[in-house]
Amino acid sequence: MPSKPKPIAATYRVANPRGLPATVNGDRIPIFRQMVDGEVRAWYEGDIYDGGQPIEPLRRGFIVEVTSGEA
Amino acid sequence: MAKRSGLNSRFFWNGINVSGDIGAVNTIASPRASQDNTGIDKSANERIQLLGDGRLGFTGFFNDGAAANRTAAAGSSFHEWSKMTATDIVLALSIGASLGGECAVLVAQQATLDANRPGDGSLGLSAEGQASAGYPLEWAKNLTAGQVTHASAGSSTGLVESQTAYGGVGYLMYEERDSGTPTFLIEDSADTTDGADGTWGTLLTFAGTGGASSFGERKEVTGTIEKGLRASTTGTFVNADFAMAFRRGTAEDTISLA
Repeated sequence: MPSKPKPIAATYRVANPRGLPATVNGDRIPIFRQMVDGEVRAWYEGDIYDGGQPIEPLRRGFIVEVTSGEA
Repeated sequence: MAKRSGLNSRFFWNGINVSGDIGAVNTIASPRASQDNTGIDKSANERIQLLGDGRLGFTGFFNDGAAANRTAAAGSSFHEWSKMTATDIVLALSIGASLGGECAVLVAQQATLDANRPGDGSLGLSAEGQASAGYPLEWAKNLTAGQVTHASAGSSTGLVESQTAYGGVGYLMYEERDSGTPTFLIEDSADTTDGADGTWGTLLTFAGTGGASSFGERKEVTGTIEKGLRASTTGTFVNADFAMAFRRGTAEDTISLA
């Protein structure tokens, strides 16, 4: 019996659903932050998401799945 | 929250914590004009609400030294009050100094500064700010436990309530920093359980950044506000002293921010 192909993990890019400015007075403005392994991580528009479960940032539109060839 | 006194309150004048130089807050007013439109077929008045307003006023003590609540500051509370500047400033009275405490906030211009020196030799001041930017006095909730210090970029523990759908108004009261330039944000979270965990999205950014001058700022945001709200900073700086508050919009707002 042929083995099932391993699912390819999705890639997510950080979006800007609230239309925040990229910078304010020279400081980059994070789209969202999460605690990862005991440390706060910030993600900025255009970043590739490499945090934990993407459920909540996906639900809020902070990340969008990158379709094949777009990454 | 429950019944409480006004002990341990804070007053911020254009971002500066002047609580130690104020003895009483005598005016916390949010009057609203009304138009009488009573028909001849009624036996009591009918009225409709018109313009809102706001006033915050206090009596205080004469202090022209730099120290009172203003470590290394350039001027005293008297220096600030005696300017009588014609620009809009933010006045805030925090009832207590805890996260989630009520905070009366007003964008105002200074209307009065009266000094008195009665025969007993005491020396006092009174001053009042009146609404000046088209916004009435607003009751917000503290996102910081009174004035807080961020040693570097980070977040204070957030306030966890319930999600609302009518936008809101953020207030920043910035006093000073040791060095650098902090930028101030309010973040919200739908999945936090304790004000620290979860995913926190930037809800609004204040335009003013922390430099040598204190300031206050009012900023509106529309749409859904998640259950968690917290004060955050970004940028490179050392020891930024500030307070923050947020008023969630309601279905009863005169101008909806939904």
